[in-house]
Amino acid sequence: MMRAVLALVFGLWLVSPTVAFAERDHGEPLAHEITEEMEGHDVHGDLHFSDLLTVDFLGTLINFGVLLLILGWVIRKKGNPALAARRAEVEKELAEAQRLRAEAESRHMATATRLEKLDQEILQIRADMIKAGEAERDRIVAQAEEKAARLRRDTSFLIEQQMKQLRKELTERAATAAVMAAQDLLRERTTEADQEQLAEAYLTRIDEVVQERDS
Amino acid sequence: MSALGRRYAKALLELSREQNQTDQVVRDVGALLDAWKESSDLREIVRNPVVPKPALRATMNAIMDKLGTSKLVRNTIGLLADRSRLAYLPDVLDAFEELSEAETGRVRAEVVSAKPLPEAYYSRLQEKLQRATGRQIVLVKKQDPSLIGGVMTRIGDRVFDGSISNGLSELRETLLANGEMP
Repeated sequence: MMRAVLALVFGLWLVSPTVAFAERDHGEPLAHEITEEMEGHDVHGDLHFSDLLTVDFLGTLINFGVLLLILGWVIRKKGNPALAARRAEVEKELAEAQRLRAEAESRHMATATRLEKLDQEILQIRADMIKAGEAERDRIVAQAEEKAARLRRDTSFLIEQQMKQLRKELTERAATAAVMAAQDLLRERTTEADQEQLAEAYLTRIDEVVQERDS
Repeated sequence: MSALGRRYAKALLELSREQNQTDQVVRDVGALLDAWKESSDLREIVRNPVVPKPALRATMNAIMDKLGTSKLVRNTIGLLADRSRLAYLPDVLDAFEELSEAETGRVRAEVVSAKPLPEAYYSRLQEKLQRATGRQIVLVKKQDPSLIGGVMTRIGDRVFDGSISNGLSELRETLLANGEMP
């Protein structure tokens, strides 16, 4: 700090043209000026740029340049605490911004990956759904075929049973009708002679039974 | 078969032998047994304790008149009615058939025909049945027009059926059996 103050004082001293060119300030320039005043300005008339580039002016410029360099060095070296804090804050913000950017990029990558995986998952889910649908379709078709087969079997069995029952009933009716017709006919046409013949046949049949038993 | 039924049956059999009416009693008992088996009204009246004794006896007499039952059997039934033991009637009748078959070798044979047959035919039939069964046959003659023609004999649980109605029944069974064949 001390050094900075010293450097600043030194710089201010340098800026002063009287300090920079002290050897030439012993009356000569002043006399010259008076001489010029007495002779009038007609000699020199107009002011030119080259008239400005005097030693004093150049010294002032050099001093000013040195001052700027010193000031720059001081400011750069020690600087303003507020600027330093500002710089640190900006750096911190930059770091934070970089971190956020990295985080955002990371998130973006993760999201992109997830999106990519999501597509795959969607494809997988779709494939699974199609597969499940096909399996369900096959199951329903198989179930329907089995049910149809069972219905066919049951229906066939039912028809067969009904046919058997109908055949049986028809046969019974036909047999009963035939027997009834025969019975009526026999009632009408059986004579005494038939009765005697039947009675004799009955005795013969008993004889046959006895012979079969004995043999 | 109850012991009481057996006692009455044995007494009836001994009396029938003493009076030489065994065949007649066998026929009467058989006819009564058939009436008992065939008539649910008779069974209900005899088993009903509310029916007064005189009414019950009158009913039994009416039935026995119709069947032409002998005096010996009528007296036995009357005794059962007097002692309020008519409920044992089937036991007495069954026991009598069993005892008479075992002790005398006589078996009741019920011969049914569509129309009455000559006595000579019944004698031949009795002889053949005795040969067939090896027992003394007591014929009980009956007529049943539903037979149409021919003769049917029942001895106990055995039946020798030579009637036209039986032939028709067999014909019907044959037709049904053939009709059911595939």
